[in-house]
Amino acid sequence: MSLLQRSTLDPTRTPGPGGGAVPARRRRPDPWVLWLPALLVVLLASMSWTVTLGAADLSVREVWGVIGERLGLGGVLGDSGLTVLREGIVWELRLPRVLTAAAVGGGLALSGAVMQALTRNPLADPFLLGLSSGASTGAVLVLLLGLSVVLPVAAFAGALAALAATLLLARSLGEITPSRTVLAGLAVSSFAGAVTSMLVFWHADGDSFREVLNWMLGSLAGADWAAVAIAWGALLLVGLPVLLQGRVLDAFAFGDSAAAGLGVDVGRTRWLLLGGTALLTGAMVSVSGAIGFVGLVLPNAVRLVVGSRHRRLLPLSVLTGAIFMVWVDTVARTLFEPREVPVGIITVLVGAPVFVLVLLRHRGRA
Amino acid sequence: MSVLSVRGLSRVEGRAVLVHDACFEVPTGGVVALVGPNGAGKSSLLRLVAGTASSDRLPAGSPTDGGRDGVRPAVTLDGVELLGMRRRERARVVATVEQEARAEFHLTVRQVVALGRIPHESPWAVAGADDAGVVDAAMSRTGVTDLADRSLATLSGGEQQRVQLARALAQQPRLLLLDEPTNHLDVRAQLDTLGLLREVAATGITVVAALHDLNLAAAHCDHVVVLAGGRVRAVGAVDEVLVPKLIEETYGVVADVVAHPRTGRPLIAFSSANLD
Repeated sequence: MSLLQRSTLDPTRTPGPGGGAVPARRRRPDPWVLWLPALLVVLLASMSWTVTLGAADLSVREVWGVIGERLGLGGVLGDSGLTVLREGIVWELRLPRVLTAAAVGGGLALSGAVMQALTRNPLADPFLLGLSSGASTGAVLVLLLGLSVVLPVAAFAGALAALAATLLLARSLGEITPSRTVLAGLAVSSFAGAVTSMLVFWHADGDSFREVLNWMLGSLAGADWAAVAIAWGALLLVGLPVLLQGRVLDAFAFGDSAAAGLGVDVGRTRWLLLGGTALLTGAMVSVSGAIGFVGLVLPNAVRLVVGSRHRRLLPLSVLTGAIFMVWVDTVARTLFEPREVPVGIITVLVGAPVFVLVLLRHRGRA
Repeated sequence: MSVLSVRGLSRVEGRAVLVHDACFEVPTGGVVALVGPNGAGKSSLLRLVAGTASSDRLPAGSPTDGGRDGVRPAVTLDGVELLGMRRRERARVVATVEQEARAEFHLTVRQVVALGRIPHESPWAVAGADDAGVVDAAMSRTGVTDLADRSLATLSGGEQQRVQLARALAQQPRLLLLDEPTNHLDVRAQLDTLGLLREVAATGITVVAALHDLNLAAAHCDHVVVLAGGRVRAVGAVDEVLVPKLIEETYGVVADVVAHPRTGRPLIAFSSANLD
């Protein structure tokens, strides 16, 4: 009856027969290291390609030519030889839009992955838990009432309030389970949505009505360089530190008390990281409106391929989220040219079936 | 100095005192059973000892045993106080196996065991070769090496228990706490688990296990801490503590203690208090 005797208790020595094959297996290069640069290349290629797509036909060489000229690199990246109008399309319309799409997709996917780990809920997503709706409400309040608050700050405050409401509501229902959290999120996001609609009907007319609709459905149509600055600023300032917390998120695999047993300051980590996701979501919603399900779809898909270790899951979620968003937004603006579909409609069309799939995979445990 | 000493630990939730000024001392390097009826505060006490829950101040005016009011909460292992340590540092000394450990996401056995290296890893660096060696050794010690690439969710209760034990051993602790490690296990798996704990203790790690089954405690443990109503009722060697009188007082059942026909260890037969 000795499971121990065949091995040594000195951890530095090679373990018994069962461990013989182990070092060989570890020497095999870990393929995930190659995923990162590969996906980065795919992202860059996708961005340069999608900029060329649209009513005005452009080539990749022309696009890079414009970028080179604007960055003062002369003809290093190729000569665009474009008219002022076509150059304007690249620099003022399509490039900021594609860049914003990438940051928004990456940021929302990261928020989703972090929220899923911290709430131990595969269904957690900034949209489903009401953060996006809360952020929209905050943003629309500022837009329509002309409050003198910066838009992203209002969106952040809205996201944070919605997150707090959802978690408090879920907790007051008893033990926090995935389905309770989603139900609480549904209540909060419906309420925030209704408040937003109310504000719109009271204050909006004509053009601004349409603009507010874009906000609620999620659209990147208005993306300019200011949007690029907000989205990328948030992704780098908030997203990057969050990316480094992968191992800490791993510690939450078996719950709060297990994480505490592994030396994690659970309370502090939870609030810092959830605050970070609220900030990230708020910034993204302030430039794109409430785009749904990106935070649900991408992390769950990536998890199927590389597993649940967050040092891999987080960076790969960011990259795939960015690539996904760049393409979905391109579809949104080109599919029914010259009319444009709010991109949020397409992400929900893709996301809702994935939500059902995740639900089915975890049935009985929600 | 080779003792595990627990002093002044209390846990209050709302108006209920779950653990009342727990104080005890046991020799280190053995298997200690923490026994007591349901709701005695065993899980709470383990969390207090692990430092994952903080000791509360008792409500004003509540009587403390022997006038130890105001004893500073302390858990001292071989002369080193643990509660004052930083969390990560403490997680390298104390490891806990909880009662029900369930993950929502797919994890392989190796990945679960590797979680035990978190307190040893620098937050920025990638896990080193040392860590892989410790993980392999921990899996081998608990006999889960062959399951290394299996998904945790596909394993039986006993196998999952051994994986959690391997994870705890990968923390390279000197104090191992287990909350009902034999819960929901069949007899064979229960005996295997206790056998493993004995072997762990033989390497110098102090093992404290909350146990439901007094006979398991009597057969496999060196010392017993009896908890009832949040208070420590008795502490000592198995045959001194698990006597009929104490069992009757603590559990409200009639107990007869005989010698096990094979091992000679105490064997307890229970009967209802109103039988005669």
